[in-house]
Amino acid sequence: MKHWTPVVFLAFLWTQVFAAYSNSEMKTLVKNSGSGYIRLSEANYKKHLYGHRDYDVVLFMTSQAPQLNCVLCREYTPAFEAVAQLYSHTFPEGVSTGRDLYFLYADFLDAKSLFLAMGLDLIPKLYYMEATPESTSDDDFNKQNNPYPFYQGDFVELTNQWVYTMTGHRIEVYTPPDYSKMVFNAIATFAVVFAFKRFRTQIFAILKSNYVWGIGTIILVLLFISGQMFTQIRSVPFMYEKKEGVEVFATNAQMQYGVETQIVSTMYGLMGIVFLVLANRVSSIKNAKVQFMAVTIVSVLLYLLYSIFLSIFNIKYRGYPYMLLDLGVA
Amino acid sequence: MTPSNGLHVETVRVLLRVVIFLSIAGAAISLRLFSVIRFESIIHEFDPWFNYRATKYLVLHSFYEFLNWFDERTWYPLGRVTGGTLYPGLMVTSGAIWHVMREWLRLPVDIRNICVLLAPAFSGVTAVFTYLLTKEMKDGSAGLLAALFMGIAPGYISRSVAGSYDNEAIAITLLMATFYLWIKAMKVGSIFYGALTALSYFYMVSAWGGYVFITNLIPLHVFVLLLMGRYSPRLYTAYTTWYALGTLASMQIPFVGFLPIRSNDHMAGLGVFGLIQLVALGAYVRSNVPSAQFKSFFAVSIVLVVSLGVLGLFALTAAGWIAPWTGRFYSLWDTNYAKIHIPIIASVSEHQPTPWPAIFFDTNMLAWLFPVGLYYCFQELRDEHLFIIIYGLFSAYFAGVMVRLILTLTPVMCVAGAIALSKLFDAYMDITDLFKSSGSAQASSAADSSSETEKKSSKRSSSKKGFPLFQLLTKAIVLSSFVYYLAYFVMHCTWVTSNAYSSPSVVLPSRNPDGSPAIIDDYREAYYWLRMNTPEDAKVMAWWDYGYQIGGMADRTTLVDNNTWNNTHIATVGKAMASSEEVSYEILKQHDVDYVLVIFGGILGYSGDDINKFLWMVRIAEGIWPNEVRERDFFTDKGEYKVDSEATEAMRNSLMYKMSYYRFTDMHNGREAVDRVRSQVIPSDRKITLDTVEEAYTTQNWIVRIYKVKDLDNLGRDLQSAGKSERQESAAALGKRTRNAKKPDLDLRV
Repeated sequence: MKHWTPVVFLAFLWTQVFAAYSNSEMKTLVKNSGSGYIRLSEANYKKHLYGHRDYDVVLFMTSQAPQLNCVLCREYTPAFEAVAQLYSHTFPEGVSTGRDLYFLYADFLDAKSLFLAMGLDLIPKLYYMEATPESTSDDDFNKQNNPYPFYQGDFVELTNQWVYTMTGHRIEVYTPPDYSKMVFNAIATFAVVFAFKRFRTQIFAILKSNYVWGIGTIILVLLFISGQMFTQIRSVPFMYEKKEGVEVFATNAQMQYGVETQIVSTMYGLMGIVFLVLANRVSSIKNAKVQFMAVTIVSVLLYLLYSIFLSIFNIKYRGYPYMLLDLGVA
Repeated sequence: MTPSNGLHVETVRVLLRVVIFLSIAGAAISLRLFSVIRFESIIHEFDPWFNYRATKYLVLHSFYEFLNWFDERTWYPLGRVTGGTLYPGLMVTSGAIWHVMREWLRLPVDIRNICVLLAPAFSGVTAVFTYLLTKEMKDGSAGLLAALFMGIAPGYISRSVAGSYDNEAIAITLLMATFYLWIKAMKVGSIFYGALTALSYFYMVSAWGGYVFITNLIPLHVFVLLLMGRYSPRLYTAYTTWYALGTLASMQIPFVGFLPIRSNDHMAGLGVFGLIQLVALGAYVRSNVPSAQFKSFFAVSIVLVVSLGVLGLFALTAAGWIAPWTGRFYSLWDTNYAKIHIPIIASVSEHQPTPWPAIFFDTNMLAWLFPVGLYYCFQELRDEHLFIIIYGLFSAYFAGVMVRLILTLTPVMCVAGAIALSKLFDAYMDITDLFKSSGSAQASSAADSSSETEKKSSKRSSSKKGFPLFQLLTKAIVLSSFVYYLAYFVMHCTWVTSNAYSSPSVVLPSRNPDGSPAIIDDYREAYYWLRMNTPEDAKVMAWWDYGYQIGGMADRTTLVDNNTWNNTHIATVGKAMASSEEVSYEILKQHDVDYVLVIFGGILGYSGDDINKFLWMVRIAEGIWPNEVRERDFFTDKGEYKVDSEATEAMRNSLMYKMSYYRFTDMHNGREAVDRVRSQVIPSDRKITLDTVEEAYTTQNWIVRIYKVKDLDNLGRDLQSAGKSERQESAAALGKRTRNAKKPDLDLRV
């Protein structure tokens, strides 16, 4: 029996080095994080996941990186943060019955090897991993993972429901009073009232100015007809980064990026301005030769602008047969 | 010159205008006939089939029977109070035309042809009203341009090609008519025009749910005018006449009923009606008391009115007198709301936001002329220009939020674009004074009217010497470039109409192996099979997309259709499709279903089939039975939607999967059975068996497959075990027959 002692001792040391954090350590870590969840990195993910754990974890594998362009990640992350926050608010000192639960957050860029170790080819993933017994070897951490089904719906509510079915911990939903917003609103109201009192005549002049209304309306209309609402509702990325470079125009007529709205509305605006110059300014030039020159220049400019615009449209709409001037873009 | 000469010019002008109008109407109508020429005179898509069926009911019965129509052939077993839940304007219009043609003109026209050609005919009328509206904004030449644009802009054509017999077909005409009459009423301040506006508004309400747009736009216009201090007795007359008459009239439509005084969508009209009374009172008081007293009177009444109004609104909503925001309306503001809470709205692709190519596709050069037109409106800013600005801004927003609302944006784009373009043409088109002043020596004897002599004297200094080459070239450059753009516009419109908007989607175009055009007519093949081979009271279950078509073409009772008024019923059908045979059979029997119809595109590569819509069925069913149907079960572990050997258990056992792929592998004779929509191989080793339904009919290209629901077993077994024993028996019989075949009787017969 005696000669076993060093082995046991070594084994004990071994587990001490590689075993995961203990429950109390996790508790302080979460408390210190302030956000209700712990961010994993290359350095610490093993300490959080590998080996024996006496607590459950919810692991969120995601990425905010623009080059991965994960739309669902972007949509879902606020829900994860909210649920983690709500959990730590519901159980600030841990649960009274059952095992404790901790929320872990892994971004692909911070913890690439974790993603490799788990063999993921799709993100986002949300796993519920139960506590592991003493004899768990390092590679086993991924043996029991219960993935969360990403249904469409109110993500926070669905995730809460999922956590409840998995762990039996009912998370209380409450909306924390957003003091910063309240303060901001108060200041804004005060500023508006003050400004109104102080600069009443100027404000009235602006409100009555046809120019202000006109420019505002036209800019709004330009944005609306170039897909501003689409980018807002679908929350599409500003542009798409590929290996070969940046893709500015989505090659699909049903889809567009944020930057397209800006380009297209600018093009519309430019063509409109050139048109106005032609109709209002150039037409009233008295000298016939000067007018001829001006008309030629402006007309050619309009033609070029419209050609560029149509080339862009050709990129979007494959098989569209018309083009003014082939600029070799499409 | 003599007065007779002036009259002559006027006559020529009118004649020219008529000729131009006829050509525009001709172009507008002929552009919409692509589908009739390519296919035949056929009703398109889904909703039009219901309208067509309702129209047929109307012409076969009386008007009152139509209004009281309880349709027991849809939504079985619930039925639908059809007369009270539709907008009758469209059907009444074609019914009236049919009666006029038959009884007055003695033309025996088929009601179907009237329905098919109604939309193109009305597009010609729309052009006229667009002309009149634009004429009120600027002048006749702008009006003609606007009419031309309106006639051929794809944004409007998309909803008004021949065969697209839908409410929008006449609604846009009525929209333009109402707007024109409103502008006229507001300018003239006459009760007559106000009443006409109300009449046209009533017609609009009877035709399309989008009338709410007018109900809010006109009050908004008046509100802005009041804010700008442009109150006038004319405005008061026009608005109060329209509002009082129009609201009363709109309440006569059974489907609308008391909505105009109850729902929040209509409150703007009422609010502005109250406001304009107050403003009128204020104007009266102001004209009778000194300004100092008026100021205090004004302040006190403002506070009083605002607080009373807000309190009243809260009280009414709290008491339940005013309806809360309805779902469809809410989705205008926040489509995310609709996506989460109402899967049925999300599943309709028309409720999607609009990317910019869609708008350019539908309006071409109008997209960049439109803001310029708004600029000109701001420059003049008469009362009627404000209307165009408000209309433009709001419809641009709505069109951005929902693809189908490009339809309401197109008219204002045409008007504003025409205003802009005609400004340019005003500046460059007029070449008469160039020649007049140079040739004034010869024409000096002709003493024209005073205005023309004025013009002449002003121009005389600029071009005294010789032929005005540069002026002519200048005009030529501008005009030719814009004529070029316009020609391109026409080509674009023709191309778009021909390629994107002229498919009836009931018959599909295709090509034979040798390249000659062919037509895939599976839908009608299946519907006529149902019509000819099933009992008249057979109940057909299919996904709701095909409800109207089955009602219209097969004339059989359906469980659900495109009037998606009962979500639970739709979810029931979804559950029957998504569950295993045992569960489904119970649902089928409970609903007396005789036939089940599925759309399958796997043979042909037709992507709009039921397997691709299947997830929506699952989702909608899950909304009602979250414990029995789960979307997750239909995805593999990797989160993929598979139908091949990796398909999930729930997927393989679902009735929809079985009915779609039943005998699919047999068809391929041992070759790989590839589903050509999803490019996945259907495993041939797992034979798909059906116990509760049997295949009744499959069309030529397998697009439509019809199954008959089996009756209860004669021996009282459940159908699964009955089917199992039958299969064993037949396998045994098969074995016996092969044994028999091995020893043929070769003896001579004596």
